[in-house]
Amino acid sequence: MISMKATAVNHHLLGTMLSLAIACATPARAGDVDFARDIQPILNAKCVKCHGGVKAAGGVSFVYEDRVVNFAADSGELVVSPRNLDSSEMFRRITSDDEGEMMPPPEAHPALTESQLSLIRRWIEQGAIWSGHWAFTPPTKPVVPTSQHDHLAVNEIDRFLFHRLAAEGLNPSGVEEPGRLLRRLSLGLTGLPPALNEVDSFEAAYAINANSAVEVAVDDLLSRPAFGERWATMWLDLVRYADSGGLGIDQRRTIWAYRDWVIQAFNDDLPFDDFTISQLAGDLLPKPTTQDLIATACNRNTQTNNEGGTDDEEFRMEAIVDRVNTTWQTWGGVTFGCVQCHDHPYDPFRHAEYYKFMAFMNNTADSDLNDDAPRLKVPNDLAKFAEVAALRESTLRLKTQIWTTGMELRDKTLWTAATSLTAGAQNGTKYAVEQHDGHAEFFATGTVSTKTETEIQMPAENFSDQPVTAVRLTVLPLNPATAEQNSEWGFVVTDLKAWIVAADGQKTAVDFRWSVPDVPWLPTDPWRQIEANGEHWAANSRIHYARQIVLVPSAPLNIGDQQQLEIHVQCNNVSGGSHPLVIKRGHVASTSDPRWATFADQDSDVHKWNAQLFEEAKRLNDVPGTSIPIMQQRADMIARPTHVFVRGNFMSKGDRVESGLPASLLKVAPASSDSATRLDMAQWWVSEQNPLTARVFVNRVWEQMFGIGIVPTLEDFGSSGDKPTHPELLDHLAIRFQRDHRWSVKQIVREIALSYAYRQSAKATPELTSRDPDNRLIARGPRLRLTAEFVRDQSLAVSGLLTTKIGGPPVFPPLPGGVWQPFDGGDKWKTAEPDDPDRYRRSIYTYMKRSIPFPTFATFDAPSREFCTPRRLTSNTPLQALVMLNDTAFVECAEALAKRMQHEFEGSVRDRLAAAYRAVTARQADANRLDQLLQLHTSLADSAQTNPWIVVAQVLLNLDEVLTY
Amino acid sequence: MLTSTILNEVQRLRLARDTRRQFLTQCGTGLGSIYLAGQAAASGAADHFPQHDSSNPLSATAPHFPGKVKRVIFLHMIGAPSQLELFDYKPELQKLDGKPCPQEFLEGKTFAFIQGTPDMLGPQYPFKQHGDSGAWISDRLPHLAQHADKLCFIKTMQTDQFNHGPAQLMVHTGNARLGYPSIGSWVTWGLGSENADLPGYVVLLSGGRQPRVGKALWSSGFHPSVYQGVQCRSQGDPVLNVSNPVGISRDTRRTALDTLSVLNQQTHQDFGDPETLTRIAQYEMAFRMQMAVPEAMDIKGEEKHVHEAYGAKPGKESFANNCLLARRLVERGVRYVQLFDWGWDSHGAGKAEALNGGFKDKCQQVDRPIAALLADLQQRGLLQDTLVVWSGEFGRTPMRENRGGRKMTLIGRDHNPGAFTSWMAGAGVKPGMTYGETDDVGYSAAVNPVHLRDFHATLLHMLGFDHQRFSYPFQGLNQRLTGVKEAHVIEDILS
Repeated sequence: MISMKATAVNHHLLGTMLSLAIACATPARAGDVDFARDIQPILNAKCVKCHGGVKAAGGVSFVYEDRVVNFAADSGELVVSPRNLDSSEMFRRITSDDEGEMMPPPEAHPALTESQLSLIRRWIEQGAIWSGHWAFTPPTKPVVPTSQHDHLAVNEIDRFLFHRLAAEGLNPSGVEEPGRLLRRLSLGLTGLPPALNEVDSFEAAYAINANSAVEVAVDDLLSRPAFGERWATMWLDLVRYADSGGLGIDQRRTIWAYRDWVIQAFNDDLPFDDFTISQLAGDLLPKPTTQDLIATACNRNTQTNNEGGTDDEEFRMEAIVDRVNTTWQTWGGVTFGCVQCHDHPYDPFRHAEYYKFMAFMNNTADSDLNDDAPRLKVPNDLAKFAEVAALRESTLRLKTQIWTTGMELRDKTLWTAATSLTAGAQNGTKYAVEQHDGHAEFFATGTVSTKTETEIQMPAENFSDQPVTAVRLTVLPLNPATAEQNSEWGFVVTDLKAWIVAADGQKTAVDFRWSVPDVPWLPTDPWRQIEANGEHWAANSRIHYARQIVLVPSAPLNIGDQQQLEIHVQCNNVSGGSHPLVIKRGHVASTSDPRWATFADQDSDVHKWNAQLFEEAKRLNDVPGTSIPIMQQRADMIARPTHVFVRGNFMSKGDRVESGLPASLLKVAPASSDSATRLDMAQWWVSEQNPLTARVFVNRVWEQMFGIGIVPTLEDFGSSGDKPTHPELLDHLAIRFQRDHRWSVKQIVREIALSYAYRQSAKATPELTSRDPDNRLIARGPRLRLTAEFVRDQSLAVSGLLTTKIGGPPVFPPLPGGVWQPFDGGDKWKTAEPDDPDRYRRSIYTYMKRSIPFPTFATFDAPSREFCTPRRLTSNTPLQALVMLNDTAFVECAEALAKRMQHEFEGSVRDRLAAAYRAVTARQADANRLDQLLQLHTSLADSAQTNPWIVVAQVLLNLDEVLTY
Repeated sequence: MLTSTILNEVQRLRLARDTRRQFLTQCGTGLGSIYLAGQAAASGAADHFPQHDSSNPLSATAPHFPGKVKRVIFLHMIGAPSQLELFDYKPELQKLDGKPCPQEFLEGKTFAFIQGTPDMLGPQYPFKQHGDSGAWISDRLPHLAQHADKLCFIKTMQTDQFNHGPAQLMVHTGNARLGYPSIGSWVTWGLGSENADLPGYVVLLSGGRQPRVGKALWSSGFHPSVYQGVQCRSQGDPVLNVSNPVGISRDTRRTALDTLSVLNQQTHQDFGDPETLTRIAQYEMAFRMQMAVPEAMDIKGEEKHVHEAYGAKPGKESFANNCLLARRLVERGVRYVQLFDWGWDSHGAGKAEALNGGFKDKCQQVDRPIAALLADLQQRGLLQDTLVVWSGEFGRTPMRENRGGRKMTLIGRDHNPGAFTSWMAGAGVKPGMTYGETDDVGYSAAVNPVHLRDFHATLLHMLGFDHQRFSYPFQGLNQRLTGVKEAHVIEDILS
């Protein structure tokens, strides 16, 4: 017999049932029909399947006001005419007896009930006001209500809750036992239980002044580093943090500096607006700090696919789609993913708006490359962060200067196109040449082979009489007309050589001194653009547009009458083990402009900048640290266009779109210009006008503290999600968070922790359990199950094994045999031995591999972080019992606790058992419990094989009281 | 005695809850019912939602309509075995052997490894017709060939993916990305299990390596985690942590659990939380599982002729052992048994996988065990309501692989998502039949293509589910195994 919380298994059905029980208790005010509360649920249930976002039969969609109110359907009839029932086709149809006309049609019955008809009639009569969904309307500061329980209230949270309890005829519960209260606060705020001496001193302080004892304890807990570890665990589920790449070979990914940044951000109480902006667009801030750049790794936690033969563009698009969906889930609590394929079925988001939003995300430089580029060097030493940020900025500035100078000259130069050339290769790749707009263009015919060295020969007739000072190579997609929409495999230049070839075939090598590629910071070393050992000029791995590079010879080239210039461009790279990244089309031009003859020579600024750049880049490179993937914007000139994907398929592209926010939310947000950036988008989430962000976040905090959100569907604040049980309280908290506390997470957690509601006893009468099984009304204190990470952390803590070190590379605690069989054989699990403190680190630091989730965490319902997980479903299964009783890690905890009982605790066996019970529950054991434990201990005392202390410790660590808090 | 009191209490609570649910769903008037209806439509409760006991999410439940299949054994040959060397006989391809591939086969196609113009490659092994049905089977599978008349071949399976990871996910979750529930998760969520002391969904691996996306292939995705596949092992603990630690005997554990139960019972009296009772029940089930799992997983007790028929050897990790275990598990009421056998990726890039190398060994390793499994299931009457499925994740090209544009020493074929062969046997399908035809060279589906979505729809149908109404709400969508694109039950193969 396996069981699970009702909310998990049948969470819809039972959730519905509970919502019903609670919704029933607040009758609609007579004569006052509210669209969102009374009408929209009927439309969602009965109408939108055919007249909704996906399908709009007859042109009618009950998702959009302008497709209903005063809207003429395809039939020509007005769907709803305010205050005019007779002219409202909708009302005629839902009340019709004619089988051909009635709505819903007979096959989709049941028909609307009398009371539903009555509501719709009254709504039309009262003016058919389309009030909009509550969550898309900004919160307003509610009046704090009063009730007969107010004498118990600690803060305003309680007054909102009490008001509802009074309306329901319920009373708040009494206060929790102090020891248990401290345990709840401690686990709730830091994910770790209180130490024995902390329980003692709290109880003593509580006896003198309860309020002040709680305040002191809460402030102390908020200031502990464990606070950040506990709340980061929640956040990492949302941003799908993992230490591996997912799909394909699921290779190790070094990105833990981001995990540490999140922990630090919670510990520093980084305001949530800054927290948001840094993660979504820290790289676009005017002067990004190293921390801002690390924060952008948030959206580099997407899966990549390194399997041989995969299409990088496909998986780049997968990652972008995931970033859009995750951003909307995490900050907006909206299921925006629906809109990828069609208009949202219930909420007012249009198909094209998905892609307008995607355009914000579509121009970062990452492209599913195996090395996770672009990456940032994160110094090991925090003291070096500022230096690294300064060096990074300075090197970027130098590169831009060098590059801009070259590009300006390139654009001012008069180029002479080569009009007669031949092109070929030695490896099976074949080129033909055709004339195009006054130049000769070579292009590949048939399939190209790997490691193509493209050989281009240009006779003297292509060049002017003057010596050639620069050569310009242009590389195009094979089909330039379609590549802009559906990009092709690109190219990576691994080496480039040139010769002047005499009539007798004798070759004189050309030395290039400089190059001007069309990308300012990819690659990073401008003086090594075309060296085989450096970073390469490339369209890696996809090409959309023409790309250009100017090559500057050390001395001007004299190409005599019978001579020719021969250039070899070597492209040895392969994507995903099989797709050759080679040149498929291109042309060449040259110039004799004397400015190139001196460009970047010894006396030039460019030369000096380059020397400085070289020196600074070396210093940056020498700083010890790790490199993590980050966000970096592509240069405007190589920006990718964004198109609507027809029915969500990336191979089937529709209209081109510019970046922008959904119109339905723009009603309340500042209009965005066509050129809105990712930074504008990030700022919009935390602007005063955004109706969602603050509500969604305080609701998450509430759920973490009470086990169920004010809006229970954390993942859906749209019209198909659950309604808030306490809408005014939600708005109150959102406004407190956003305005009064200026986005301070610690302050909002503090306010909830201090409330009377949180301090209540968790004892439930049968009547209360049956009335409100999930404790949505909070007439009692929360009683929650420890989640995966905290089950283990607590066992380590109470047994005295826990290592409290913060941050650093992932660790490898013991793993059951046979589990670690990674596809990538190089990815070793090096178990930390018992003498290694890393064996006992907090769970957040355990190496998180997507294809092999840590078994204990998976068994206790932790997600494997492929996608944003807004809410964990909890189950209660026998496999969990087996982990708790038999897994090496937990057996070690029992052994350690047994040692504490034998060596640290004092007195009789009974005294020691009492101390241990208190250590794991923060309560005094009563006589009966002690009798039971003592009896168990005694019954095993004579056993030769069994240490009775260990058996007792196992029982203690498995108590229901210990696994809940 | 204590335990039975607790179980009674769990039962009482369950009934109380069910009664309330009934009351609420029958309460058809007022704002409450409007809200209920609205929520139902929005959340997917309008679709089929299995009604498990609130205390047991694996309790057996009824599907949409009575299905012929009660249990499934799925044999997945990881790496994609060549249909052209096993079941899809192509004499025309033999004639083209060694000739350059016609350009029309290459235009607009993407390959994992083939470059330029490869040569065609004829079938590498002789084929013969078998049984009354006259099914073509190559000489690599002589034992299986004796059961030709039990098999229902689909020659025209198609997928969207041509890389292993995403393609394997397509087969088992209907989606190329990680994070979606596997078929076994859908089935145990929908039907529960017939044995409360064993996991309802068991996964067995052989071939020496895990599939590359690992647990994602038996994930519960967005379903509750209780529906994920439980990997059982031939070596070490058959289920992780099923053995007591050193120094804790079964008697000691029993004594400890008795104390734990008494203390937890007292906690229940203190706090009145029904979850506490559930927890007590879970610890009791874990205790029973510690007996039931090793018993089911121990093949030593099987008779000698059975071991011989399968080629099983106790204590080894082998496909043969896993086939025998699959029979033992379905016999005990396990709902879904998934076997993965690694090593079928015959590119010709290495001896261990080449068609003229390791492929022969792989065929030998699975031929006898599969034949024995089919015979054993039939002999025990289990084939009447158990379905056996055999498949890879895609097919292989009629062209010889030329990795890097060069002729390779060994013989192999590249990935081909356009056509592959699967077969089914047992409950629900017509025996001795072949559905669909590929073109003359076995490159693409010519007659009756069957996309994986159709395959999924058909499988669910045989289990009693209408795939369109079998959904779970996630990310605002009623998610289905068959996804949002059209999928059809292949009526012609249903028995």
